[in-house]
Amino acid sequence: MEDLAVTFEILCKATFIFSFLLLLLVVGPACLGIEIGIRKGYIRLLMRLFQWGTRRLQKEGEMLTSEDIIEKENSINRLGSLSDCVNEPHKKFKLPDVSYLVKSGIEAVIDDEVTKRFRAEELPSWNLLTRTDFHYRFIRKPTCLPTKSADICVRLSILWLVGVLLRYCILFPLRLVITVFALSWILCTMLPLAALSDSSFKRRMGYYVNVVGFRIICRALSAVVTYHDRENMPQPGGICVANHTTTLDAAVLMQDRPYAVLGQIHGGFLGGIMRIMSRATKHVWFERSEVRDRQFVSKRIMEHVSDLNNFPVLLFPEGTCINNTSVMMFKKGSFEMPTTIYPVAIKYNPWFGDAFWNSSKHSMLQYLLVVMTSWAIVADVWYLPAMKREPEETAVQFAERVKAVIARKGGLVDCVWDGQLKRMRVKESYLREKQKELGELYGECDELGQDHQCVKRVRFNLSTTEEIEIEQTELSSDSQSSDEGDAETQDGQISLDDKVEEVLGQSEETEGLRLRHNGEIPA
Amino acid sequence: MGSKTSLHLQEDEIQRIHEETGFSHNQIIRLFSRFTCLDKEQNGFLTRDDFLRIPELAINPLAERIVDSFFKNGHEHVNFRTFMNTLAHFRPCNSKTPDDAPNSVSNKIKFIFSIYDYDRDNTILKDELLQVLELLVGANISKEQLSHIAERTLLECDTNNDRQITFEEFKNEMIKSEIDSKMSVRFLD
Repeated sequence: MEDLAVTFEILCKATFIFSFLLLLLVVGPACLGIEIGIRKGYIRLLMRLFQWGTRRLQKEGEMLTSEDIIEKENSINRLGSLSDCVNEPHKKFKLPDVSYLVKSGIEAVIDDEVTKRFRAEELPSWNLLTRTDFHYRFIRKPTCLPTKSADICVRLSILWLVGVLLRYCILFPLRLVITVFALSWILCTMLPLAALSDSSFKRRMGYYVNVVGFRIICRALSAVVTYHDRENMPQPGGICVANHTTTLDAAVLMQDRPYAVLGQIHGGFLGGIMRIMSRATKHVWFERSEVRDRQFVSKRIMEHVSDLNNFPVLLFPEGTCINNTSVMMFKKGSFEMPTTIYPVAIKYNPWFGDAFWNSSKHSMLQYLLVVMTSWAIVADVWYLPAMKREPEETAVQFAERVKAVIARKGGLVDCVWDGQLKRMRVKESYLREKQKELGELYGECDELGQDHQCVKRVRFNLSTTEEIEIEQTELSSDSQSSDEGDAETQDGQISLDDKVEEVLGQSEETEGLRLRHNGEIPA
Repeated sequence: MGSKTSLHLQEDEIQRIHEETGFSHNQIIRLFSRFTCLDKEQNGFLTRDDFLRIPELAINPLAERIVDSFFKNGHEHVNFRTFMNTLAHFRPCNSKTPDDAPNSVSNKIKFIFSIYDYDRDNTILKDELLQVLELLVGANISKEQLSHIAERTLLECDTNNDRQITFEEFKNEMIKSEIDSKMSVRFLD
């Protein structure tokens, strides 16, 4: 009986001390917006550890030398042109022509722009997590390494074991407790807010409650985020667009300022939190059936944005999570509206754990489990200057422009492909486009002869000035133009249309001959 | 993330592939990583679907034929070794490359030949040419004109006038156009 009482007392004391520490180290700083520096110190220590490991591995020659497997030469992109598929000035289909496409296909099998975007990013060295690629072999198969590396194998194995104990036995329970605390904190602070009627006091409180809640969540995940160029921070009356790696993107951004979230109503765990949040602050949420109706969605967003009391809308125009190495196609929907766009680039540091949520592989809770047993989440956020659609610009062009800015700032690859390819096959129409290009090339060539083909090719390459120059020289030599024509080409001032006309005019004389020549081939 | 690849490459397997294909140790490990990336269900082999899921390949008019070249002898799965043997044709070659190596000029030409030679009977008929042309241009050129192009191509290569292109005739046509560089992928070490 006494034993039980003593245990109970100790338990009470422990809980009290823990709560006190929680308040002192987590909630207090989160409310005041200050940092004690525990997470930063931890990150610095880890960084030094990884650097040491990398140096040692380098010494042993166990590092991967290059990131890419091949250097691509014949890449066919859906926006590119196939016209250089037949790069010699011959006029007809020839058997070796297929080699271009065959090589291009093989290159795509070895390396392509899309598949690797939905897989954990590869690191040049090992970050002591078993889940990252084959560097794990240092522990799994020490025998596969030469004997001189045995020493480093042992050391790395010990470090890894210490890491496992730290991550699973200390960090994970701690994080779990803080997360549960953070969620109940958000719940408790938002519920009274939800009861209040709309006033400037409610809005001010809403701002504060949101930011503090997300600060605690970020602390729970050991998220260390550096915000750059905060003078460009999104303002009410605009839309904030960011590249998307994980649902945590929202938490990372919202601990700096609250946003109105636009999204589909989720079910289950996430859905519950969403519903409470929407009562306290205005968000734009849709039923699954409403999302398809694009006009309805834009109308709702415009309504929200036009009220300057509302928080700016946060959008992820990629529509799906990408592994933080690239930015993929932005859906044009959010760029059709006549509002200010605030681009934000988010780049996670892959060394401390992979932030990418592969939703086809992990459920939300599984993903959180992985994140909570990783080292930490380290990210950089860049606020970019506000952008507006130019009067002559289409929504698609504007989306491209914003995407390029984000990619450049975040050091990400600017990719033209649609992120939806994660789940879907490529549209058949893209293949048809390629066939059409080839059809135009070969059809015309075999019918009308070489000069006409060159004209065609000039039209094909209008996008790149360099190629036009090359084609122009080809044109002049093909058509055996007069001295006057050569002079004009060298001058470089002559307009392309003139040149094309000139060739067309000259080829008319020879066309008849050519056709007759073709006709002579016995059927 | 989370679940690690259940398959690991054995050292003797690497050695064997190195001898068969000439790929370096590092290249084999990297290509294995790519292989497991394409193998979405993680079952140790690739299916036709795994290949056609690559968008850049799927928009290639010859995608079907290129994928066919990985699936020899009617197998429905490609394991890593077969995968590597097919890719080996695309290693660069030089004058010292032995004739029986997968990346020799002659084997590179054989690879393209098999793209045309759909029924694998070692001759290309006009119908087979026509099929490839249809893959290339779809419905964008009329049937008559395609037939005309196929006819002309056949006659250009058919030196003995038997209305079919044998491998020898095909090879003579290919060698004219620096086929070795066109069929070499720049692998990095």
